[in-house]
Amino acid sequence: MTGNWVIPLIVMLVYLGFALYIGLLAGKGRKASVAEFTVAERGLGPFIMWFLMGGSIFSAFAFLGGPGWAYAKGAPAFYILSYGAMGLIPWYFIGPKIARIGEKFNFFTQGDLLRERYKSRALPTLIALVAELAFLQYLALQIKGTAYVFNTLTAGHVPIWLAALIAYGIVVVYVATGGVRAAAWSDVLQAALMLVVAWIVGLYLPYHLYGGPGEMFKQIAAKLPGHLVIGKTGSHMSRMAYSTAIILSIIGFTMWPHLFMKSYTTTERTIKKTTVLYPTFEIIMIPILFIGFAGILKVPFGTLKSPDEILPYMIATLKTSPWLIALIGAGALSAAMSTSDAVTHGAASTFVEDVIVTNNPNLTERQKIVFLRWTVVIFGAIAYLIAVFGGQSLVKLLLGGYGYIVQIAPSVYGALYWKRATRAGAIWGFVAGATLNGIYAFGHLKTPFGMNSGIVALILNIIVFFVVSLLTKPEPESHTREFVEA
Amino acid sequence: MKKENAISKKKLYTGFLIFFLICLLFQIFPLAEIANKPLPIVFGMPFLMFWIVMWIVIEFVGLIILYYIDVIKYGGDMK
Repeated sequence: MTGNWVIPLIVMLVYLGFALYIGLLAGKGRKASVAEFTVAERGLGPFIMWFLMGGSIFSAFAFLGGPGWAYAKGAPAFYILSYGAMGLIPWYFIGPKIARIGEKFNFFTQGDLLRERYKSRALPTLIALVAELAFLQYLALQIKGTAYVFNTLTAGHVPIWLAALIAYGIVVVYVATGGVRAAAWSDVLQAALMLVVAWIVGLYLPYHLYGGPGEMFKQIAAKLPGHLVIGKTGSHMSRMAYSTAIILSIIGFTMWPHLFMKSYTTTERTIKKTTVLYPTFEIIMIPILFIGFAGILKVPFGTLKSPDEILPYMIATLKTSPWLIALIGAGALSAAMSTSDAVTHGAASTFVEDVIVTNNPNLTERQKIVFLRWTVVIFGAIAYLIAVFGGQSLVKLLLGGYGYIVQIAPSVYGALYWKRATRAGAIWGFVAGATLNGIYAFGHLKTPFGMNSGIVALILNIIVFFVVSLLTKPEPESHTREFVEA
Repeated sequence: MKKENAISKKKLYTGFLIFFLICLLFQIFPLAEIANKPLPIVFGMPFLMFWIVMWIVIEFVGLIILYYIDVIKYGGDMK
């Protein structure tokens, strides 16, 4: 039994050391500037972009939450496939435009664009602060996931606090020193590993337990047919909730500040190429969902404290080769870390550019860099404390992530496509949408027709945005044209 | 010449946006009702899952065609 945790521990430590090495190497010899730290001087190529976007998006949520949903809810988990494959498509159309505007005005973040277009400091500050809270929750989830996997697969020999400290500490070190370039290069390693592990485990479990995915689904269909459909008897989600969740996630996807700002890291051609190739990444969700479905008939409901534990639970109880356990550990760590680095980087860049620099425009380049590095460390420490000592359920209650992030969409699309969009419209639309979403989240209220609460809030946001924009004085045509016709 | 190019580009983008919208509509309700059943199993997946994966493949093919026309044929890269 001893070998069963020693080998995974060694493999995971080797993996972590390697991730740190690559991250540090990537940032070495680059000059210390805001443009390098935030957007890698706008020079990342398509190969790295594919891994960076894939790695940033596929997180501990995909690796643990995806199987968890498939196990506990069944077919509703398919929404991850639908939105994941489509989420980046809007980027094909808006990304190149954002990149052109960004290069012209020297933008680094989402807030830079909004500040300049709407001539407002309040709007980017407000959005950045709401986004920071969403980031914190997102990140705490990753850290918790990492620590949980590390802890389970070493049979409890590495305590949660230490596991989280090692894995996330490494991320903070390479992001603080190397910025987005370090995140991108370490994502190449992490995303590649994640792809391999997903396919191996996702196919191994159905074959090992049932003799193949087809046979597995036949048995589930015979015993629990409601688990494989939406909105019928025995199903766990209504048709309306399912459909609006997909729409919400597709609109919100590109609005996450850390993904949005990747528009500035590269060229138009690379943005288009990355979007086109992105669905090839999404395909890994198929084996990942298989993992959760494999548990349905083998792990009685109620065995686990949380359905998210299904993957590590099945691996630990199967008594498989310690090398397989090690591989899964490294794969799950890489899924969480490749998201943590992008989110930590995005959160720091957003906070420094959109809150500190926006309100203190006279900072020197040197001061900004110092702020960026320290924000990475401080933000990392807060997220770590939330993850290890709890309190994250409170943040979760406050912020349903996507429900808030999607509220950024009207002001961004307005900035890019609608000359009549005004500052007052953008601010009040966002405030109305974010507030209503908060009311739904806090009050556990029922939405009309069982729609996703974020979508209801978004509809209010759009209405307020349109009406207030049309009622207020238009901004000068010469100014709006620089954005709409870019 | 530049103006002509701009018009065709707008049309190209609008056309593909409609195409992607149709792909989405088939994956959500009410249209997804067509495939809202566990059987038959296709390529090892229950029918609804297969249906969604099929639309992802169609989207992927659409993206490749869009990229081909936009970037390779018309050199959509402004730089």
